[in-house]
Amino acid sequence: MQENIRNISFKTFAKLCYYPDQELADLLFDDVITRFLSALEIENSNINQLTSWLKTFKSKEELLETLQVEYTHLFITSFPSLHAPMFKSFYYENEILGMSTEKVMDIYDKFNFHVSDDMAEPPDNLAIMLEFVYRLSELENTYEDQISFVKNEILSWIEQLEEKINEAAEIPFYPFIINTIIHYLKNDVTQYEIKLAGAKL
Amino acid sequence: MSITRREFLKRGTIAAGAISLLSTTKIKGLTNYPKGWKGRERVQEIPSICEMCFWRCGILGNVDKHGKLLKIDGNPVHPLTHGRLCARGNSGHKTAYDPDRLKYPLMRVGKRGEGKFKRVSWDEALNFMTDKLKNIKEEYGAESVGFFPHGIQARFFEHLMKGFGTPNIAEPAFAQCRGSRDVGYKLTFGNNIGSPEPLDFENTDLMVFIGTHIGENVFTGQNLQFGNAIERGAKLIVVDPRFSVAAAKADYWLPLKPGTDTALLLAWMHVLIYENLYDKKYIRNYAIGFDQLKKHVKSCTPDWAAEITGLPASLILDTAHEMGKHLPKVGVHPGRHVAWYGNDSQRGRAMAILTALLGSYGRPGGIYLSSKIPAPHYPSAKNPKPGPRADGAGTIYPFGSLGLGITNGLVDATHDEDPYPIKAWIVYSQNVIQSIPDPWKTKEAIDKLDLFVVVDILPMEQFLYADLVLPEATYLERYDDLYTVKNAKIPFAAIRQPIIKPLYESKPGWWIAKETAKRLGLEDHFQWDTIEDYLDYRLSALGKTLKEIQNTGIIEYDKDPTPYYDFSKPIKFKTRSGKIELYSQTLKDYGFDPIPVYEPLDDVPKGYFRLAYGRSPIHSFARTQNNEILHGYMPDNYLWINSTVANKLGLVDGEYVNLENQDGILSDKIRLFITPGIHPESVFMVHGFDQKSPFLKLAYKHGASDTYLMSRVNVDPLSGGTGMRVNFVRIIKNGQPIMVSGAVSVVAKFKKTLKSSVPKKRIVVPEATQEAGESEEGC
Repeated sequence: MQENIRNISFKTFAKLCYYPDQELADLLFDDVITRFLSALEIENSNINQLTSWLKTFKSKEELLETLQVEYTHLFITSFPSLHAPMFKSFYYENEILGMSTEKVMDIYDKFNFHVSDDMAEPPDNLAIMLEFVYRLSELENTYEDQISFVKNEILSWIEQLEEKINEAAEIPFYPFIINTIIHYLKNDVTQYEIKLAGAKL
Repeated sequence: MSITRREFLKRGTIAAGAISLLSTTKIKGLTNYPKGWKGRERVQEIPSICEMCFWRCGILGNVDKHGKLLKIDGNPVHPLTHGRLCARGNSGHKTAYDPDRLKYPLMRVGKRGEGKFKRVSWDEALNFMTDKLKNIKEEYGAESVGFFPHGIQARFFEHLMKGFGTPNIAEPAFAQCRGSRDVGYKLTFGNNIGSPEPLDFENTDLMVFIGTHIGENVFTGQNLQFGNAIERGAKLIVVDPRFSVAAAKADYWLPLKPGTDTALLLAWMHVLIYENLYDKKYIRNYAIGFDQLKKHVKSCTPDWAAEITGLPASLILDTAHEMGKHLPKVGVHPGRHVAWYGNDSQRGRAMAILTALLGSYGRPGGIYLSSKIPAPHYPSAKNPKPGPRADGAGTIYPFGSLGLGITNGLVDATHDEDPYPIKAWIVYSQNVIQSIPDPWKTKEAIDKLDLFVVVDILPMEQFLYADLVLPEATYLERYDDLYTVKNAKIPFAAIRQPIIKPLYESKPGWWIAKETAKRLGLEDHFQWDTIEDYLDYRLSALGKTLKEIQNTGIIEYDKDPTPYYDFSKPIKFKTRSGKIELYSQTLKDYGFDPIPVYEPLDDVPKGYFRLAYGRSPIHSFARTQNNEILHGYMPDNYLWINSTVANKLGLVDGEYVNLENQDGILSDKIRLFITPGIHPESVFMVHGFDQKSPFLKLAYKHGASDTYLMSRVNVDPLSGGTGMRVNFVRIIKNGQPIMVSGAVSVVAKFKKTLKSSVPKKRIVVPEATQEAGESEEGC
């Protein structure tokens, strides 16, 4: 059961990091995601603030438009310059498809995954990486691989992304989301390490 | 947070529904490989052609197992470049992988210029554009849509625009580059020069460069030919106010006063004619107007030209003698970017007449002839008859190109709504703000539009003003139209093919055009199913299929490889008289000088310098400044200034200054390069810097912009091209003009005639000068 909650968490985080679509707007507008996050009781996560912000929208369409404009502003193109590229190799090599992306692709290959043909983002986009952990969590005997991936491929740069999001965000949504994800991932790794230490004892 | 489902549900029955809903949510960024998948292929080498500049050298893309482009090499089987590639060509992968590149179609959600966009799907983007285009066509006519293309990638969209019915298609290759040269040569020989310039480096004994900057304007193939000619012992005369890369290799460097080239050319003609050194047989058999020419240049002696050009008369005489000694194997390079002073077609004529006197047009060692290459166009529906043009080509400017158009004419027409309103612009791979002078006028023209669409790779400044942005795949990610090179001794065709998959949602030009056509009801202009079908058809007359040449990327056509005139047969030139026209009755009929006349330019005001600009081997136009490797080599431009002048002014090599032009427009800061290698009247900078789009992280605000100092142009009355070296600048240091004895500011004088479109001191003012409170009368 624990794994089930965990894999839905990763799936939800991935969903939140992809370009907002109608389904995401529906899930947010109907409080589905906030209820889920609230139940996770993530440390430092001010879910009430997000809930209040979501209540300010009169329609799902208005919410979707706001999220899409903000997503474009933060992660695609924005004035005065692109604020927060959401892919790892930007932080490592300052280019798309850098060496660090290739490392991520090698890991995907190892587990027989590749980026879908109709997915336009690079393989080391945060959303795809979170989706990968979710996909792995559905496979048996991959827990250590999941933790290793989170630790080495995501936590190694995500705080830089958070910093950029916090600097440039025009609405509170993405600062909240990225902060929540970071706390969840760190806790996930800590839980594993505690478990590992316990096993050694 | 390690919780069980039971614990989790305890935290709220409300969350139970959430789990159920979220577990059915779909995300699909990853897919499983099919069963039996054994891993990717090893590294591949894929041939294609470059687009880091317009020369399109042969390349080989090295792609790894992940489909990532690792490096680019030259293609050894390319007939002109033989495996060589310049710095830009080697750096192309950094443009494809530039984090700043355009990734998705974007729709403006803020005000124009605010740079606020929303990502939209291609369907939304193309529907928006075509709905607008249909409405504009219905209300104002197809001619109210202006199209600004550049390069072979834009050909499919250009085909579409012709099918749409607009005559208003214009690219800077004509009016801001080589148009006036082609007008001059066509009036004289009946043919355009074309690209690359067909100078017979292989057989020449003497090369003459007037404003030709091989080594700075780098086409690898031409550089190679030039280097081989020098190594072989061919002599070189370079006419240039600046000690260019080519001048450094020259036997004779003629650093003339800027703007006096025609006087020099007339004096050379004088010497050749009056000392009987010209090719008499060639002129007698193939030219008309010799007597008028002889009379015309009678007074144009070396002493006369020496007074005007500032060159020693003996140097003018010696170089004329060299030409006489080596004719007809003298290659007078026709030049490339020749939009200098507004008298450029007549200077082009003078160069063509000189070539004729040397008997070197269509002869070994001179200018060889273009060849034909059969590559049929795919059958298409007939284009509607377009309405009258708005840019003045063929009317106001009688020799303006109907094919390439006149960009500045189209900007003027849009700005002034004369001869009729232009309501939409589609800018495709062109940078209208950086490539056309007087950028304020261009921006004001954009303000008048109901629709402004930009199709591009990177968010250049024009992007800020766009209503719709369409991200094009880079040259490394797409097929383009077949590239045929007729100006090679053995003509050839080269293919551009995808080396890597398009990143994000960028799309190739053929796809954008075909999808747009569907929505405009113009599908019958694109009757092919796939781009491969299209290319197969075009290659069919060469006896090959696309598949057959994909391994090399090149096919040569050697059916008629002699690119010279056969003098054993009658020769008919494509001029009105059928002869080489030293005297042009056509020009006379239009009220122009039938033989070029030297007309002095405005004097440079005291304390000012004539602003010259040019190329660097590291960058192409304003296109490559954001490329990480090229930015690393050359992040800024710098200002060449004569060392004697600099010493008098107390300027120090490497220090930063600003420039102020005659209209009071200030540049951003630029570093000084003090050198004896430039005429004292002139300063020089490389074009394309001080990018004003903050979306370009590396290029933004680096160096100074020459374009933003071009508030004035002299328009060539023959071609409509913009003479851009007519702007004067003075040096501003620490917010104050540099003192020159007897100098006064000309700002007030010029402001009396300043066009309304030009701002007063509008440009980005560097911090150091913002509070200087400088007087317009200055020193």
